[in-house]
Amino acid sequence: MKHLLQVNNLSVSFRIDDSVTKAVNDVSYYIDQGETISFVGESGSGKSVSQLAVLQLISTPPGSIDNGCVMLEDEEVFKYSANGPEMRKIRGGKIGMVFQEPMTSLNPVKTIGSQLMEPILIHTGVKDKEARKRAISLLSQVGIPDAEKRMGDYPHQFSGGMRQRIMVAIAIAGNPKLIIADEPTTALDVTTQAQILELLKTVSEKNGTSLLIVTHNLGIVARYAQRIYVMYAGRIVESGLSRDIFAHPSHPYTRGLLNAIPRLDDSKERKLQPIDAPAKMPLDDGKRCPFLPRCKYKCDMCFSQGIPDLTESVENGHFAACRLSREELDQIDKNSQDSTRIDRREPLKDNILEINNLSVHFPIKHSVLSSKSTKLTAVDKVSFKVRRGETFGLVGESGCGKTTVARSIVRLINDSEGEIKFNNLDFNVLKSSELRRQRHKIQMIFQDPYSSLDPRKSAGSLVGEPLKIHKLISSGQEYDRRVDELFTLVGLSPSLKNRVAHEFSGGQRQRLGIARALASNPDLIVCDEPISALDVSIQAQIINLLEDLQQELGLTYLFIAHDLSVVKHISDTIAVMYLGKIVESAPCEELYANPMHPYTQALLAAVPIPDPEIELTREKIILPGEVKSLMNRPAGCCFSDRCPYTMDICRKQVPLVKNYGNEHYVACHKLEQ
Amino acid sequence: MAQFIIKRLIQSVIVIFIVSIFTFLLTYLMPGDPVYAMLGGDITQEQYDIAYKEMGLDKPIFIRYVNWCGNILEGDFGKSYKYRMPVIDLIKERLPITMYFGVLSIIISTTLGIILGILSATKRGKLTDTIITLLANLGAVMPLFWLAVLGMSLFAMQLKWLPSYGFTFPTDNFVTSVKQTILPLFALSVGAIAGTTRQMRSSMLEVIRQDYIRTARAKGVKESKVISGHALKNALIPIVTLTGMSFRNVVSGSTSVEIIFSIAGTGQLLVSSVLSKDVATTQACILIVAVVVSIANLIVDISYGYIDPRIRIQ
Amino acid sequence: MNKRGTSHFMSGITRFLKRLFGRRIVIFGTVLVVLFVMTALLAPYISPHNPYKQNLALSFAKPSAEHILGNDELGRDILSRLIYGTRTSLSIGFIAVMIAAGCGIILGLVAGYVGGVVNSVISRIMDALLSIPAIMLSLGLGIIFGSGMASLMVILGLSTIPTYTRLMCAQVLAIRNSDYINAERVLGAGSIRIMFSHILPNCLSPIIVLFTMNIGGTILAEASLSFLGLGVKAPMASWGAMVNEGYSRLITNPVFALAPGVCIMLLVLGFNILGDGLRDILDPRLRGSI
Repeated sequence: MKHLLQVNNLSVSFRIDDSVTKAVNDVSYYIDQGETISFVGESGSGKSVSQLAVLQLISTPPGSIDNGCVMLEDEEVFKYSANGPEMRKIRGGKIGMVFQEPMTSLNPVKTIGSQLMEPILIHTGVKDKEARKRAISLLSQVGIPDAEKRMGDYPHQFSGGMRQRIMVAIAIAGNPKLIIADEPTTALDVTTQAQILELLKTVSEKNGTSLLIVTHNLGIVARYAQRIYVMYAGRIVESGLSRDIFAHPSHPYTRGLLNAIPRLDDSKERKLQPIDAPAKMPLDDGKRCPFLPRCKYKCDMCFSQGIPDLTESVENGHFAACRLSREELDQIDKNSQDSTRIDRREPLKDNILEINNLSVHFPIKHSVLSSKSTKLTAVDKVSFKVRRGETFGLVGESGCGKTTVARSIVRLINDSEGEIKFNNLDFNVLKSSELRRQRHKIQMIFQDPYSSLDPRKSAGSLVGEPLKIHKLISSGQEYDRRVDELFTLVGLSPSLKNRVAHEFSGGQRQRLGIARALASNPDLIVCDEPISALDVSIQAQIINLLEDLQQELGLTYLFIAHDLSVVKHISDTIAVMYLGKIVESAPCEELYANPMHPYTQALLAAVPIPDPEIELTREKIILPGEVKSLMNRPAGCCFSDRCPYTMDICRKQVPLVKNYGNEHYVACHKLEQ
Repeated sequence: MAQFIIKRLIQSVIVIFIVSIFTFLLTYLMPGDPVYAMLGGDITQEQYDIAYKEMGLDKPIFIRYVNWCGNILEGDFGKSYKYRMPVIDLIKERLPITMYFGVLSIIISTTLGIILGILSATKRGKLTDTIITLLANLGAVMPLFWLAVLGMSLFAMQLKWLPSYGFTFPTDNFVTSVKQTILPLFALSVGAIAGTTRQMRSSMLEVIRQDYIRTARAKGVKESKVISGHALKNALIPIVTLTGMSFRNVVSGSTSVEIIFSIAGTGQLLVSSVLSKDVATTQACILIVAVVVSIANLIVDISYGYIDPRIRIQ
Repeated sequence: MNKRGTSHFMSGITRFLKRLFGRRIVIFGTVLVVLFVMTALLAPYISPHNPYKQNLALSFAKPSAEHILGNDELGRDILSRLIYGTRTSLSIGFIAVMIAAGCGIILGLVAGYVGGVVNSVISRIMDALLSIPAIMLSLGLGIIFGSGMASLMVILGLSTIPTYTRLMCAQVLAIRNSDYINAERVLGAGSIRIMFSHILPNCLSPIIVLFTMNIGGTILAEASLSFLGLGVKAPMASWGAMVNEGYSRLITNPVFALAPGVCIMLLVLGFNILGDGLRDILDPRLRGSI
């Protein structure tokens, strides 16, 4: 049978400053009419570059397509010149593309109408008026309200989710046979992610279009893809039907990934198993298996023989590039001594942190001439308690105010209202001199390990600075000893002290951030999305480190995150925020077993689970609309405009937080009845 | 947009206010007696006393500033003791000439710079790019006055193709005007062309790397259209800012050019009044030119808003 | 710093230099700058004649074996004056830019870090300075400070302050809300520590680039003023003034006006290329904005 798209032996390299990086190495794959397939891999695996190369969209130089043959139906794509007329017919006409960054992928100075009409005019041969009509109908098809009115608007007037919908409209405008979606939802919130993916699925099913999703998220793959290609370091290491790969992963990397990520349906005791990562990845020399330096299954054969070929295993069409068979891998797993359970310490009964009616307002100036300004309420009377020794998870989508809460607690935001009682001392009324003395007891770990470390300071002085600021050491010797101790504590060699931040990998940088936070012996650490900027295989390392440190030092964490699987894994108690309010809070197990607030329910349903069997049977709740901006928060319950159960009272009256037993607090009118 | 314009307008007013304080203080900050500064040293004691009163030197400095501003708003910049006539008449005569050169030079340098910049960026690494980049680098370091005297010596003195001095408005005698304009305008524009070319090249190269250009290509848009329809407008945004700055530099350069080619413009007036310590004229020149530059910047910023919808629609 | 730290630091420097001089054009620019700096330093030893010694008999003499480039109106040796002119250009260029950078960095740091009204006031004063064309501003300031080498340095320095203030302020505004500064606040670091130990060092890359490029610009400005007769005072040698003295004799002795112009061009070109090279390495994002 003939495939819609067949790619054979594709190799792409980039030349930067005289060094050549092989981004894609001898990759072959295909996709059939009407099929949905997925490319999985971490950043730098070559999964996106492969797709861009097919459309000849990589910039040359520095990139170059070294080898490969691409057959799109009967056409040999690489025979065409990169920007020639035949290639342009394929782009948008036969293959539509949705890119990762909706914020930068649309031209900021052109109206979305003109950007959407362009592919229609180019590929469908219709004229202006008709094209406009089609553009409007496409916009409403992808779920843009008031499509006609919004044709004249510019990209910056749309939210990220809306822009991605427009990108989808552009991709399908030329009636392509294949849509390539390159990490289409990575930049979006989980409920928006569900919307966009459902949209892609619906439009491709409706038009019989094939869909190729590039992603690092195994959950998305499990939910949507029929077949999968797993990429690592520019090579395909495993491929096959989605259900076969999830049921019987046959490459160490795939197995590693599945063991490294927390899942929504995990038991709390499962310890994550990170994939080892040497500080400096050796370059792919084309002689040995590229995964070798990180592989825990490696054997003598791996060193003595060359790169393993993709070989078919028991099931039809399931290939893996590994010297060892699946059974051999299973055997090694069985014999391994790695602990797979976490012992969790019970939190103490006393509260280390009590937040009462915390509100944060940001003034918005309306006009240069008038001095009038309105207040934008980012956090609205939030209250919660954190017990000593526990991990308190605060979850919500972007803009819900979770980071603002975190920043208020560490007093990076100074003019919040309400009580922040830490060790029975109200932090919010402390004078700045007193505050600076108390600061060392609450520390913070930041989201982006690249921007949270001063690029000009050595790692040692970054970690040691708190010791000096709070005069926690009496001599230079003690300083050195303490810094070494901190390095060891977070799993870094003290010999790295003199390096500057950019010489570390992302995971190592985050370890430095943790060491810096630990330097002043804090009681409470506020972790603001500490792992969301890291690759999935590295995330597990940091989560495990945080858990180990908690055991060892009796720390309390306030853990801010948007990833519900991670929060579930690490937290003892969880609070869910929406538009500046806590809508539900409960002990972890209770919340996931019995979510009561409609928003929590939708949020949990939107998180895909990396298991196609489970995904088949799961109920999907796709929330309509988008999170309203803080400027026009709905009256009454803040969720009333999107809630499937909204009643009259919800639109009028703000629901109060009530206890429904088991420390389960919810603010919802429906439950009160 | 209205908000944006109002905000910029207020800023401009404040800027002009600060410049006015600076120019006002010139009289008092310069070494020597302000009366002599205003009238020159060649006066009798009687004249001195009258002038002292007239200038309000017996009043506090704040009052003097207010009076000075009041006079200026009525068009009275005082009297030039060198030219023995009201300063405002001098300015009225001279400013249009400087403006004529300034505006022409900006139009030429912006147009040429943009074209050369695009050419250079789209042919990156090719011979065209190398030649344009080389010329732009040389143009940026060429001293304007040197270029002017070389041009004058060659084309006016040696070859006698063009006149070496003077200025005529095209409305008075078109042919003479064009002949007289070519050399000064060339000298004045080389640096600005080079600057705009360099900026346009790097701005274009920056824009071509953006995600939305990839989107346009992925839609199947023709490469020429990708440049003209998608990249150009974005690449122009920094050029607009540069044009505002260029205007200031062109007026600055026009000072040397006016002197070399004996053109009776504001720059020449300023230099001669500085040399003869004619403070009233100096003050007027600086203030007027600053106002003109501020207005030019304001226009540029407003057009900026029209190019970039992110500023126009908030 | 211990031994390992030092060697690490050195390897960083080596890497930096390797990247900087990896491109032939940057080497060319650097050689130009170094040659001129050497000329300026060694002027008394390498100039064939006393640049101030007049000999009216040789007024406007053509080049000869004794006076390779000829003599000026007062019969002074042109080559020697050219060599001494290097001193004038470089010292004025360097010191003026030092003054500008020093004031600009502090003003920008304060404006950016304190923000609010302070920022507005400083920004508007800088706008005001920027609204007066450079030569006119120098002329205006010249009235106050008088003429001469020192005043020229101050004048040219003052008129370049706004560029530094703006750049510095923008840098600080970008950095002050970055997470590593937030991290310092959470650690309990005070404002002074944050400003000087963390913000300032991180703002310096673009400042260094601007500094290098501005030396060229200031040398041009000095030459223009001297050409107009408003620069350094006679009998001091200045390239700009030499062009002015020489251009009427362009036909009899073309070198007189040509040579100083070529010198200005080469020196400014050298600084520009060096600046370009530094920018590409230190802060590639700045391409186009400086």
